[in-house]
Amino acid sequence: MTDKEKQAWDLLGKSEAPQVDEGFNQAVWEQLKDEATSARTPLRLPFVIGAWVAAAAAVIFCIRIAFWGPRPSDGQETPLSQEDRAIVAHLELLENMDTLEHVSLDGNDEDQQLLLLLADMAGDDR
Amino acid sequence: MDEASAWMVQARDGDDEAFDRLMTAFRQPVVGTLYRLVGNAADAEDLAQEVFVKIYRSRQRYKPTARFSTWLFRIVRNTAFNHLRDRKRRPIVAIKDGTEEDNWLADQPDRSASAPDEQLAVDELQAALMQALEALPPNQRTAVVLSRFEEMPYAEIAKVLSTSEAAVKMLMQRARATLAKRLTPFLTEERS
Repeated sequence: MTDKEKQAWDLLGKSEAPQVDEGFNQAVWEQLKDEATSARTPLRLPFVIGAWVAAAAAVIFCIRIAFWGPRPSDGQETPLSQEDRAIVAHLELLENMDTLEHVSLDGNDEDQQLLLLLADMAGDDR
Repeated sequence: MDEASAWMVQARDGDDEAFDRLMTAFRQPVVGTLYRLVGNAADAEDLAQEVFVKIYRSRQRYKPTARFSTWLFRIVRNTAFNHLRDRKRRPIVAIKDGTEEDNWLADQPDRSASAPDEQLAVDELQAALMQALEALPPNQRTAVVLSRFEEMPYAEIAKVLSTSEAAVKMLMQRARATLAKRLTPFLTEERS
């Protein structure tokens, strides 16, 4: 080592550095605590979302039961489905009106009277 | 096993007080080394905290095969180099409004009231020393800082830098020559 290098080396020792105290340790612990908290959050999140979805579904189910009653069992018809069936039957009947007009009616019973009446009504509609 | 390694083993096994003792023992050398490597006091303290957070997170993987300080200063060196690389990629534009400066020299107690000329000389020397260190390539700078301020033997510096002892000697020779050249004005003054 030359004389100049030795002097420079000694001089370098005069370089000062910032001083840190106990607050440094506290800052590190706080960072670690924050990280632990944020690391737990993603694990908890799906459970929280699941709980909210379950609660919302339960509320919707209760409202449905309160306003429209329990769901009908298989084969049981609701008033709405009965009405639908009647409309479909009526439409089928109207479709057959044309053929009824050409049916020869010799009988006199109530069914034949009804058919004639419906045929007249269909004719009026047209 | 050295004392610090024993503390680290205790910390690995769940003793947070042992980790706190480690921080107390090494916070100043870590901050000092980082300051001399990155040249900024605020960054040095932030990076030092980052170093201890990294160590705590990876404590389960710690094996006391080498001295704790070797492991610690390897993390310090990597953290400083990563920071310098990022800073190079995204240079920070300093906003100086005349009220605040991100400069440790500016945060120091005002000693100028008692001896303004003397304080000016000290500040000037500090700036020159930091500039001289900054002029060194990263590995040379690390070797100089660890040798001069941590009094680390070449063999341990070699482990920190993941190189050979002969390579460290070479780094030191070059660094001393560069420092002598950079600090020539102050050396002349020292003699007079």
